[in-house]
Amino acid sequence: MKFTYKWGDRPLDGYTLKRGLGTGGFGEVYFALSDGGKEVALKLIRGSSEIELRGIANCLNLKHPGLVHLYDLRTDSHGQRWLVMEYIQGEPLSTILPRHPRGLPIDQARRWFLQAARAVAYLHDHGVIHRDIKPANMFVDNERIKLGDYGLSKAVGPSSHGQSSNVGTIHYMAPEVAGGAYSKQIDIYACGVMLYEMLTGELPFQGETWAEVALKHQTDKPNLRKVPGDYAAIIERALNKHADRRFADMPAMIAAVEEVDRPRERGVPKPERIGRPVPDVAPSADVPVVRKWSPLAGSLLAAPLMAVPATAVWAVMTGVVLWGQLGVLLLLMIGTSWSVLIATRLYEGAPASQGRRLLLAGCGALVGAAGFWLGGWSMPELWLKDEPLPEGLVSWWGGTLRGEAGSLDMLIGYMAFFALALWVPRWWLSAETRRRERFTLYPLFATGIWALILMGIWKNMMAAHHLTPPNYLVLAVVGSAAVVQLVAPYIPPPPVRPRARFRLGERRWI
Amino acid sequence: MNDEAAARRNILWIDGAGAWLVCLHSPITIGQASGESSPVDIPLLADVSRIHATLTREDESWLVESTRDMTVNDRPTGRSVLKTGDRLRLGTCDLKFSLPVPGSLSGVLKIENGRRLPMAVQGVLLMADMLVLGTGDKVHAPLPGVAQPVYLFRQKDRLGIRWPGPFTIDGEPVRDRAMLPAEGCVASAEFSFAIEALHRNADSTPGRR
Repeated sequence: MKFTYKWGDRPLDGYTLKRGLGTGGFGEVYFALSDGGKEVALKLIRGSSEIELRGIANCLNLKHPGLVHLYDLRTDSHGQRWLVMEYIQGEPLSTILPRHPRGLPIDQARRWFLQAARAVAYLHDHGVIHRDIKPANMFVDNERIKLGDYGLSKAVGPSSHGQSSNVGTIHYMAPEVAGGAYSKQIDIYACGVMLYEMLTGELPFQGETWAEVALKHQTDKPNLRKVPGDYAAIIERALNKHADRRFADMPAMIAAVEEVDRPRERGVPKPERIGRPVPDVAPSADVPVVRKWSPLAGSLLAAPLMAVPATAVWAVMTGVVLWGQLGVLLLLMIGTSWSVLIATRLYEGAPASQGRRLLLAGCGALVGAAGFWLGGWSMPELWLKDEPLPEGLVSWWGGTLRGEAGSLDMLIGYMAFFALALWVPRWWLSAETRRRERFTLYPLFATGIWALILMGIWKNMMAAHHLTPPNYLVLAVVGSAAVVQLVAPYIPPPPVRPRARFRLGERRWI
Repeated sequence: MNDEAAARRNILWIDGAGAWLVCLHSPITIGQASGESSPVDIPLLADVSRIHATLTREDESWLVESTRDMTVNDRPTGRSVLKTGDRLRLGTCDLKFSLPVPGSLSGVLKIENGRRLPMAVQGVLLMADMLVLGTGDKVHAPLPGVAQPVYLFRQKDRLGIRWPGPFTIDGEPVRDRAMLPAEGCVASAEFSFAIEALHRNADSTPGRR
């Protein structure tokens, strides 16, 4: 970063420069102290026409808590123009966002967005179109957003854009800007991009080159699946390719964002939305039923397909092919995987709760009961009639329940084994759409060790009855850990923002 | 180049990155900023006493002592050896202490809750033997865009700079290693910063040099 002036210079009478803050399309910005000790940011405005300076002069007396104040427009002895502005010690939003690669906490995003949007609305209300709304122009000062660089942005337009120097700006540029159209609508579009970025941590349209991004603004639809449900419609509208189909004005967009949380204010809690990574498909009424459940249906269908090779691997490894046993193993693996997939989907994005674990345990008990029956046992039956027991059967609980010897112990064992196998490990971590890696071996080891422990305890307890639970149940659990990862939908975590963009944001302080 | 000794307190103005108050001599006092006559090294625009606490550099650690209202990591105390990441509260001011560079006893003190010093700085560098300026986390102050970090070291009562490559001090070309004037600008193709000596009676940095 090269600055023309250095510490101690006094190019403008009355101010001593202390350090360079940033350089950008419009010139250099310095931190300076007035002779009286007032901290200011001094922007050296280079190459501006009289019309542009008039634009700044128009804004000099605008006052709004969400705007960086402009104090004065001065000319130095060399005829250079300096804009004297409020110095804000806080960081620009463009350096804060990269620290939240999955988006800001939703309440903070909403609060900051509304603050910025009200400042934009104030500008519009005073006949000023910002034209360069982006996080690099938003400064966070004691938890308040202040919008800067207004009244300066006349030069923003495709013709003035080099390939590299202004690449940060193109991401926020409405499609009609290419045609030279400037209206309040381009600010609304940019606000939509910024809201998207604040909520998801990503830009809606990304590309390697300026041209690629510009083309996406013209043609692509934003991926709204990453946006929390209530905001998707707002962003979709703000990012409409046709300016006349966006919000009519900023107050309309502000009202829509304010409306999002009205239900909560009325007392319907939505705790799962606060400060959590945005789920791929938010469990919300706004998401169509098909889109909400189709990934689940797909993975449920895929689970049996994946369970077959998993079973085959075991058959090959052990070298024993007992078709009956393999069939049971396959079915148990499917049942276990389905339990995990369903429970994960139902609670996706929700905070940690015992509900999910209880659901998993319940499903596990059902799978266990199925395993018991598939293992060749017959279910103990209710026996309320006062008749003698048939040969070979035993009864429990004063004759109300009867069955083969040991079958009740075995049933309880089966159900407990699967219930505990599903209850204790954090299965959903392997099935969440936004898990860190698509497939890892760690869940196989974790569930395997846990299943072996359970099996050991179970065998010990059954030893008295001279019964042995089958070992392949352990495999059903381990196999499921693999199947679940293979079939559950997966969205890789967003890549870490490239440093270049980060620095660009910082540089474009003005 | 002048041979003036480095001042007890300096401001490091780093272009494009930030500004830091650099305290060179232990013990370092912290207290209320009271304009021209502030007697402390680290003046705070906060509801604290005139001299609220003292930081002392010992052989291997920093010690904070206060006879006033002070908590370290939410525990009221009058005396505490500081570890990296410790949170201090003096009156209404929250500070965070860290030792970001392994093996260096130079500490960094940042104000956490919106209070500030009279000068526009990001924080205070408590310089022991040396300061590391560079990119990444393990530096005392960020210096964007440098491939190799810049080391500021202490030699007798002056400060020196070490950086592999050519740079200028107040316009005079030097390379690799040089002593710094009490005040001046250092610039290279990759970075530029200035050191300004702060003298007592000048907490709001002087407008004129």
